[in-house]
Amino acid sequence: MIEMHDVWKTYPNGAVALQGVSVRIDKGEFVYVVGPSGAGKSTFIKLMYREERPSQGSIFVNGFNIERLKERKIPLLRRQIGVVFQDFKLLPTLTVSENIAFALEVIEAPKKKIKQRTAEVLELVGLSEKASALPNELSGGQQQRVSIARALINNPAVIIADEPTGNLDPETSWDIMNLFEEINRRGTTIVMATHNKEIVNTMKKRVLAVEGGRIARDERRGVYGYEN
Amino acid sequence: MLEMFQYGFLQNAFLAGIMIALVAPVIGVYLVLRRQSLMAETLSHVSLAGVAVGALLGLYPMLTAMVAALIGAVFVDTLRRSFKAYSELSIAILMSGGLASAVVLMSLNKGVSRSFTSYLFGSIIAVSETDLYVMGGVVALVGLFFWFLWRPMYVLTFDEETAQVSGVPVKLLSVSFSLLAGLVVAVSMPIIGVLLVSSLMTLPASIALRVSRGFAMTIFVAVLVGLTSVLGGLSASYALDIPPGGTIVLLLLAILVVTLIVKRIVSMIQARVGAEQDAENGNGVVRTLGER
Repeated sequence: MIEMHDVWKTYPNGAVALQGVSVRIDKGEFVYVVGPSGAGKSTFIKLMYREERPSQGSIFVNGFNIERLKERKIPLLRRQIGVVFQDFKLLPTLTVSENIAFALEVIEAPKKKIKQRTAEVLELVGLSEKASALPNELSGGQQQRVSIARALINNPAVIIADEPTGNLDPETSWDIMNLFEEINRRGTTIVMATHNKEIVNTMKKRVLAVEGGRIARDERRGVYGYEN
Repeated sequence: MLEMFQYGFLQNAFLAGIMIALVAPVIGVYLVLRRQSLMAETLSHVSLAGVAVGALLGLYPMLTAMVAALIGAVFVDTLRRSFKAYSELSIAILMSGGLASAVVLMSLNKGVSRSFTSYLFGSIIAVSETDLYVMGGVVALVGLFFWFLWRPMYVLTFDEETAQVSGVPVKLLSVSFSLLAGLVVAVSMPIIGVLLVSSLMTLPASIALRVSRGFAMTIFVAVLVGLTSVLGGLSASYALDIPPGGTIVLLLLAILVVTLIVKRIVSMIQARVGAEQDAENGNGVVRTLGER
């Protein structure tokens, strides 16, 4: 599903974010990425959806060699990946369903399909009755559900989440985490960077710890392992 | 009031007004969402220079205004890219450049007098039949543009980066839209006047964005507000013998103020009702504290 071979990343200012990272994530896995701030966690995540490019090494996502990917093939890659951000990144002037449908408007999908698919994912995240609300009328947890629905609309093989519960209170974080669990049960691979110790320790999933630009730990049923 | 439609020039003015009110607010919504509200203002100053050139050379002024606005639109886009971090500079440069050339060119032409003020502030007797045909052409062009390109335009407007990675020809589309905006500015001129044309683009958009939920409704409300202000403004202009441009913009501002006040009141009522409901359901402070 996702493979990295000896990946290095040096930023133009000379900062070395990753030093020879190799990892393999299989289809259907649920992986937490943990580690101190500034240890390369964010870079590691961003390389997967080609927000950043590696300085050296190769990355495969769902069969695509990210490095060799032609400019015009990028949309194809993006369609296999759903991304969920800490700050939701919803468009404030569009309704919930317009926000979710956006990714399908981009690829000029038929109107009927857009409508049907939007209703499906809204139902999955439990927000069917909020379809015509504006983002600022929703709570933080509901907004994050909308952005998860948006990530799901293309039926991606993998969802990459960068601190999705970073702006939410503990109770809401659990609701969101259960939603991810449900999505994972339906077969979608999930890679999630997080600082939430309690959740990582309770869920007992695979844990990748990134420290000093290297994978310091890779445990099948891992724990968070840091004092927050 | 109805007897005013016996006059051919008024029929022309209203026809022209309706056409402008259909397209200018739509362009305005996109301009506002793309953070280019000042572009209409800039293009109107540039097209004023076009009018001046037309007057000087004895050419059809709407045509020279259109040419000037098109050149201006290309410049706005190009300058915006070259001054990336200070993209509003392109606006400042072109606006002063346009006005300066208009003033100088005008002073060269001793014959100009009354008709020039009608381009500045708008006039209801200035619309000729040829103007109507040109306007009709521009309205049709706007219609075709959005009929075929609304989706890429929609994506470009809300998320330029996504548009780029999705293979939308961002540069081409962006320039085409600027050109279209330039044409609309140039043809709106005879009615509302160069100095006020941008108001008819951005004010309906800002009113619509306040009250609408979702994009489709925003466009609809903007056009509705545009039509109301243009029809109301033209009628008042005829009845009270005041310039249409100023009247239309004052009407728009009145609608904006009323909208803001009504919205305020509604949200105050909602807050009160919400608080009362909370009290009835026992969701008050006491219970919250009790739970902890």
